Amino acid sequence: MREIEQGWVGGSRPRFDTAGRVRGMIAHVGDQAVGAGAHVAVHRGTQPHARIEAVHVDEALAMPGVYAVVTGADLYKQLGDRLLTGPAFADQPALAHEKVRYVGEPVAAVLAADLATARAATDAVWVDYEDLPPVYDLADALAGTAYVHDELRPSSVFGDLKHLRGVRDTNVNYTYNLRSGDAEAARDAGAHTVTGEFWAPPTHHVPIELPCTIAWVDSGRLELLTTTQTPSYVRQTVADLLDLPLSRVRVTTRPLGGSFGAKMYDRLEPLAAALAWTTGRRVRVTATREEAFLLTTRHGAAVTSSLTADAEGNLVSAIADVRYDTGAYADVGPRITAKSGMVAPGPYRIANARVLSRCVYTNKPSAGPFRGFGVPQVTWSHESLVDELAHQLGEDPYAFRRRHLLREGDEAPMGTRMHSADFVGCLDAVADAIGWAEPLDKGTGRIRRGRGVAVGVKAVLTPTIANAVLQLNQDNSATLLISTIDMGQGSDTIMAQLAADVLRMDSRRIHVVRADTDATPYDTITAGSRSTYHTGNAVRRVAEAMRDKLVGLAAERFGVAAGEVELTAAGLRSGAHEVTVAELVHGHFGARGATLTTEANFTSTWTPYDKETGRSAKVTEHWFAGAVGARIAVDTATGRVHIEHLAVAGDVGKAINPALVEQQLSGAAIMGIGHALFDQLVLDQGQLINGTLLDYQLPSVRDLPDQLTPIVVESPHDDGPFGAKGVGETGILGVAPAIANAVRDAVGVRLTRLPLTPESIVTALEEKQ
Amino acid sequence: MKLASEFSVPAPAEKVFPLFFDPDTMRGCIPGCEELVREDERTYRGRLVNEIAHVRFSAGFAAAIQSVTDEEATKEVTALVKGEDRRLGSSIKIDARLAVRPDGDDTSVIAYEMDMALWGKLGRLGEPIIRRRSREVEVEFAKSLAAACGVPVERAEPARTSTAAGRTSTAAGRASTAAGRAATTTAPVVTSPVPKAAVAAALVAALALLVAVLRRGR
Amino acid sequence: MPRLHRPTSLADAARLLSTLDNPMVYGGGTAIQVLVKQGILFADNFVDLAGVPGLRDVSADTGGVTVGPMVSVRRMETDPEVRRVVPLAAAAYRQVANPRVRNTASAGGNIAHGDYRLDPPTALLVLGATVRATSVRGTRDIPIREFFVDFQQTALEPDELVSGIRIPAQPAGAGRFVKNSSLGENDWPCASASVLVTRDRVHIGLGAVAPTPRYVTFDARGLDDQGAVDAALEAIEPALDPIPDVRGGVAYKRRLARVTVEDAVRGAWKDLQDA
Repeated sequence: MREIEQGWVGGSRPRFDTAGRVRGMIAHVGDQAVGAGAHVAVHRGTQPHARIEAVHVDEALAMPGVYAVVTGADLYKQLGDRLLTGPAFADQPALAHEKVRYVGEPVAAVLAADLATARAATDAVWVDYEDLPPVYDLADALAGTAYVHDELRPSSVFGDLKHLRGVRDTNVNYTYNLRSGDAEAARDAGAHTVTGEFWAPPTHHVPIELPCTIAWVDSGRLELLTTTQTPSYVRQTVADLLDLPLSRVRVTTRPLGGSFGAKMYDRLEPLAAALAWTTGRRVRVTATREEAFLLTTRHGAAVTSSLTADAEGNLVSAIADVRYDTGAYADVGPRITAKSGMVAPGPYRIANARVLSRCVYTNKPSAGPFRGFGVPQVTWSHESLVDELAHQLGEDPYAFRRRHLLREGDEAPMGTRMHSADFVGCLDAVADAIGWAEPLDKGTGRIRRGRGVAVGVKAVLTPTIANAVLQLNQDNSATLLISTIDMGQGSDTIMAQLAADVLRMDSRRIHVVRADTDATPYDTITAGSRSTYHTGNAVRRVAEAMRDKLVGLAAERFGVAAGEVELTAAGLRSGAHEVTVAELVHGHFGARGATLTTEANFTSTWTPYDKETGRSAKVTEHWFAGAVGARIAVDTATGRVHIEHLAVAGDVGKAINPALVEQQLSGAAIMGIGHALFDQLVLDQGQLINGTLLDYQLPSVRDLPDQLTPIVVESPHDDGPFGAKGVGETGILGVAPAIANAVRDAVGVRLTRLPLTPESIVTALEEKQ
Repeated sequence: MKLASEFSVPAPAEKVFPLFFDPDTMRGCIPGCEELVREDERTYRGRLVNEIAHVRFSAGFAAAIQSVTDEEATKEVTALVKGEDRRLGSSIKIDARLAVRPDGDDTSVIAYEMDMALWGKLGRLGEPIIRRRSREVEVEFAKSLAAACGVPVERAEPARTSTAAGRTSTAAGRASTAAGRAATTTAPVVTSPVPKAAVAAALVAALALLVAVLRRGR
Repeated sequence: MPRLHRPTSLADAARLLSTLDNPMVYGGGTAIQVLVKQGILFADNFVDLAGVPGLRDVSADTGGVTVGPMVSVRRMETDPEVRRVVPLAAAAYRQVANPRVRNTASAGGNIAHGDYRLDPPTALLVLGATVRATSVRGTRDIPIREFFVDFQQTALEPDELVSGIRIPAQPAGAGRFVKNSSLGENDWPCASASVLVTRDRVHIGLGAVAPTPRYVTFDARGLDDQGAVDAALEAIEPALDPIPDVRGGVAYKRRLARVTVEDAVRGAWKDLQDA
């Protein structure tokens, strides 16, 4: 019995697929043989911004083994403006059409008998370009002399972007404004103001599994097997691209080998679908590690901000000018701009706030979703400012934050109240873990030690839709149909736990079906830490519906009222009556192997924010609250930061599976260490110069802290399944500022640009002297 | 990426400068320059072919002269050079400035500044190699130019006094999106006659690139 | 794609190198595969040494160790004879990349690559190793201190291959290998140094701080530890010529080189006093 309970809510059941993932016994998309199809490689542009005058494909086409060479113009002829896709703006072509907008943009696709031939043939394609003035960075873009897109083209997905259709002569594709009180006046009247120019660079996700899409036409339907976190979105996009009803598009998936936002929305799928549909061939499109760097990135973001306290030390004004560099295509940048802009003041009681958050086109690889969805970039700003303000007021940075943090029921500057967001609990937990109250030997020689904390807040993606279908098999096993993607976070494990808890069954007897749009129901996306709450609620409901069904059948069988029947791990019972689930279902159908089916939906709602003030009484279904504490040592000779202890806490409402929650917190913290210390994409005049794993920096086991402490905080959400919320991003929000604040504590320098390289620390130390 | 350096040639500026007007001289001075033709008043096309470590390399380029100053104290040309290496899937664009100034009676100093953009496969690996190779190309170019001036080859060598400056500039030009930016191309200011000097400056850079690639390939 | 040739004798390998178009010796393949993957390697033929007998031998005598070119970097790290006779070399080989790379990479390929950031050359320079180069014209010995000619360029002729490395026995004294990266801990070094302190001299091999690995030495008689550090910093100054890149600018790399050398000299000096 105890073993069964380990698979219910609150039990740390191991991931059902751990052994398979480690030993390579799980088939990923790339493992799927393509059979008699075409392998696809793409010729990539070598200009940051240019008009395509001609694409020469004859030499490539003449190579043995090459089936076809397809250009953007070829696709445009067949698909017209439908070639342009994207979640917020219909601005991204599967192959560059008329213009290239970043170095490395796909210009032509070669279909060949094998991948080596396809790749060799891409070298035989050449292109005549007419240069256009490049827009290399935010400053270029906002100067407004050259434009990445001639006019803005909002897609139909975001209703609130309609007013931008046809706007010309701008690189700003979205603006979010927050106006709460009069922040400028409050700043000017305030006693103490700290300001900063913050920069968080673009980074890449680097999931272990590379993206891959296989597409083919079967009986007039377009079918895809693809590495995606968003199968329902991909089905809609492909249906729109090919002008097909949704019923004629099928998107199937396999477990992902990591993603972190890299495999969402329009990646390889529109190209694969267009090629399969227009050539009739089965095609396999994949990306090399070097190409994967160009597919999507995390937004580089500049934040110019200030925080003001009055003479009593109350926070009276927060102001932030936030610019997200979204690269050549908007992708989901506009949503990031709004969702992150609204929390730029931080999770504090602040009387007045003003935020201008803009999403800006440049001639760089496109930026899109990345664990944290733009929030780490603004957390970098507000957690550095509040720390510096505390230092300047002579206050303890932990106690200062604690005094001002939002509490249950408090209204944040964007107008929404806090619930199930225990910032104080998270901050206390990490401060306690790193021994904040105890004296620290800070050192006097070459090695200096320091401590820092940071708090983060993020809204969950709202509104979204989740559906679940449950088939209870006669033998008391079950098949759960949802469209959540398990990319290593363990969703298939915990969804089974939720259903098993309701049905009092062994969670290992529940199989979660891989997302397949022909079979599993619509689910908005697996991203933004939304699945535990949203899909989890749908799963809880579908299991409750099944429980009600079983109870009803038992009541009928026993001849009692439904209210008198109880479902237990042993079966159904009412007084002296007892029956196992297997017997009950067998008795009902008179057949072995029969199934009972239930379905359920969960949809969250919101109140759109006001266009002028950015405020809303319910901007999100719920909040994520997290905190990070760091104790570090700085080698002042080399500038290197060594992390002695990193504690990361997240309020998850209720941990469905505490072990997996701790792993999410730890994993996010480790990723955050990279962002804090060395992880960044370096671009020079539009060219990515460190886009290989030889040069791109990721944390290795040798970069881990001496001690890493994940802390689960549980402040149950009224409407969460068993009180639960998600946790995928909570741990990453405050890592970089916590480490930078510890550097400030150790050596007295305030760095505002990430990453905190040893060179930047040494330079700052020299400037200080 | 910004590159800058200067080197001396044991000949007076008045003698050096006209050499830049002569395509044959330039073709001879630039290792691997197989073609160099003048297309019109301001445009030149050429091809660099090089063979190092058994690898034959060929890249076409075009140079457009942006401005020319030919005065007693200042002899200067600016040019925009674009090249393409199809085999490597790479493009190069260089904003180049080449100046010649007298340094005593029998010596002149050639100074160049280049803002080089490298796009494509080369771009993600080339920078440190190019920085390193550009120094060697400079040596070869200086030697050839000295020979063209009728000076024994042994006497020609890069100005050691200027290497410090060259190194400083390489440090300053480190991959930084802000600092590494090209100046906005302005409308060309053309004064006649149009010399060929810009081609030389451009080729120094282009050759540096090619040599770098070949060595790396080895 | 380059063609793969698998000679079964050293003579065959040399003959292939002298006759094939654009040949390249294929050792462990750890450097070559990276270039192949990036599409920037233009060799037409690979001459794979894996099938040539005798190239994986390590033999020690009183004067030093002789290692075949196909001896893995991992073995250079772990072999008891290498550790006993040339402990400084073993210490440097131990720091190369990670165990998977060390298991595959070869000692010969490592130096033939000629990269300025590699760890083992720093120790080989200090110990005064000799590189044996073989071609159809015969075999010659190249002192390691003359081997690294320029940026990724060695003294090997295009038709020569490394057929052995002879490392003289480490003299009495104390050795230290220290390396520092500037970004991830496991990244290429930003500065590395092998230091050997003997009764009368200090030998220093420098990695990553100039276009080639560099060697400097000075007379240490009459110096105390601080004196040795000061002399070392003065001695390395002319050898420092770092290439700026994403891992650091010139000033930072010079600084890191000095810190690295100071730590290595101080450590070795202490080891010698403690011994």
